[in-house]
Amino acid sequence: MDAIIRTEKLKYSYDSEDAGVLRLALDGVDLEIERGSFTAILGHNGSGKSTLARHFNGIFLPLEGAVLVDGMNTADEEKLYEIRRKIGMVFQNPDNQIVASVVDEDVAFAPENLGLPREEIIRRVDSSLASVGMEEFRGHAPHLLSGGQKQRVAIAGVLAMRPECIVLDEPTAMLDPKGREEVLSTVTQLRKEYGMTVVIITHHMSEAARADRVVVLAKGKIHLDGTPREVLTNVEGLSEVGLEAPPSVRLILALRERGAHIPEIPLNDEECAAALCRWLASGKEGE
Amino acid sequence: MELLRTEDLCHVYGTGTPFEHKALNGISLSVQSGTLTGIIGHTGSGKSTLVSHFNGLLRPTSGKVFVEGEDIWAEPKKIRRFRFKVGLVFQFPEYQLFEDTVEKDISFGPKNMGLSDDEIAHRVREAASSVGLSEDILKKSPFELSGGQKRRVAIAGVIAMHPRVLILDEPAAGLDPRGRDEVFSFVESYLSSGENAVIVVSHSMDDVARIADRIVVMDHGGISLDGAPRDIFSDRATVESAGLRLPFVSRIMHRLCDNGYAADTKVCDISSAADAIIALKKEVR
Repeated sequence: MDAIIRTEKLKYSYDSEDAGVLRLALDGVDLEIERGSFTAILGHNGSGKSTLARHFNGIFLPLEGAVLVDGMNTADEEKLYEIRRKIGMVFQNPDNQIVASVVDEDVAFAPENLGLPREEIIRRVDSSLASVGMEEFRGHAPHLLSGGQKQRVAIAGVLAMRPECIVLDEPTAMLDPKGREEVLSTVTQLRKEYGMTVVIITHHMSEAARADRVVVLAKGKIHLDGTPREVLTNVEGLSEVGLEAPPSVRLILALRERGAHIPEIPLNDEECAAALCRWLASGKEGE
Repeated sequence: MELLRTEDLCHVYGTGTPFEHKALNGISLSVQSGTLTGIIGHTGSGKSTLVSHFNGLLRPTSGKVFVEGEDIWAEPKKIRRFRFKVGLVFQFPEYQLFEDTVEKDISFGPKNMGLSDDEIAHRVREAASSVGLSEDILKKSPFELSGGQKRRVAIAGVIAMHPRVLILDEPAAGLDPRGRDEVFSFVESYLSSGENAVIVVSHSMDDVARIADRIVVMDHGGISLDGAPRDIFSDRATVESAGLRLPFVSRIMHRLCDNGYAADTKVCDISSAADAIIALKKEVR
C-alpha cells in the first residue's frame, strides 16, 4: 500500500508521566491511510478518534510508537512544517477556526504565512473558494454566514495550503442537515476532482457510509476495519462498542427477524427503498 | 396544567437599522405540564429566538409570555425569578462550564437563588445523581471529564434550580448513541413526576421522533406545523419546505408510497415500520 500516513504501535495518554498508572487514550494503533483514499474513523465519545486525528499532523506526539507522514516522523521537529503542509486539519467548531473578518482574507491566511507571492495567493484563494462553492461570499463577514458555510470557508482555508491530505475531525457535529450535506458533498468532490486523501472523524453512520473504508476505534484500539458495507452491517461488532448500525441496516434486519427474505443490506435511503420495492413486488408473482 | 404560554409573540432584531430582521412573527403557543415538546426548525428559523423568550432572556418586540399564568414582563425588575422557573440549557453547554470543580459548577445556579448551604449541597447531589453522575465526580475538575459527562454536568447545573420548564437546545448534538440515550432517558425521568415540562430544540427529527409527544415545526419565524409526531411525519411536503429532513423510517415509507404502495407514513420507529411493511407484503399477496 502507498501509505501517506502510517501509525506504528501508537500509544498516547493525557495523564502526566509521573501519574503512576497511565490511562491510555490510544493503546497500540497500527493504521495505514492509503494515498487518495477516503477513510472514515468512527468511535463513541472517548474512543480516541480525535486523539488519533491529532497525531496525523503532529499536534500530538506519540507517547510510544511513531506516526509517519510520507515517511517523515512527526516527532522530528525539523519535518513538522512540511508535515503540516501535507496534512490539513478541519475541526468541529467553525467559529474557532476563522481568524479574519472577511472571508477571502481568512482563506489567504495560510498562503500568506507560507510567504507566497501575491499573485499566487490570489490564485489559491480564488480556486479554494471555488472548490467549496463559496466564491460569491468572498467579501462577506464570516460571522454572518451559516454554520455549513463557515465550515466550507474553514475547508477552503486548508485547501489554500494545497495539502495532499485533509483530516476532518467531526466537521458536521455542530451543523444542521443542510450544512452537513454541504460539507459532505464538498469533501466528496475534493476527493473526486483532485484525488485528495480524505480522513473524516465522525459518529454519523450516514457519513461513514460514503467513505471507501471505515475504521472503528474503541478504547484506543482498532476494533473494526473494512469497507462501509462490511463494517456498517456488523451490527454486533458496532453495538459492542456503543455504536448503532445505520437505520437502513436495522430496518432490514428487523424485517428478516419477522421472516422476510431480503437478500441485500442497504446503506442508504435509495438502496433501502429499492430493496423493499423489489421484495414487495416479488410477492405479486407468488413466492 | 399550563406552564407556559405565548400570545402573538413577535421579535425584531436590529430595529431601525439596515439589518432589521423579523425573527418571530406572531407565535401563540401553550405548553402543558407532563409533556415533551420538540421544537424543530432549520438554522435561522427562529427556534432559538423563541426559546430565549421563555425565560426572559429576550424581551418581545410585541406580544406576551406567561409562565404559570403570570405575564413575565409585568414587572421587568422581577424577571430574574422566571429564569429559575424556566431553565435553559444551551447548545454545547459543556463549553460554559467554568468552575474548578463539578460541585461548584452545579451549585452556581442554586447559589444565585439565595438558597441555604445545606439546601445547595442537597440539590447538587440530587441533580448530579438524576443525570447519572456519581458522587466521586463532584470533586473533579469539569475539564477532566468526557464530553458526555461534561454535558450532563451542564444540565445538572440547570436542573439544580428545579425549573418547572426545562429547555434543552440540541441536547444530543455531538454525542454518540449511548450518550444520546442517556440524555433522553434522563429527560423522561424528569417528566415522570408529571409536574414539569420539557422542551427540546433540535434540527434533527430523528432525535426528537422517539421521545416527543408533540412537535412544533418552525419556519421563517412562524409555526408551520404543530401536532403529534405521527401526524407531522406524514406531511412530507410541509416538513421539506421548512428545510427539514423527515426521520429515516418516514422517508422510507414515503418512498414506498411514491412507488405505488399504500405504506403507513405515520410510523415513528423501526420496529413499527417493519410491522407495517410486513402487513403491506400480505396485502400485496
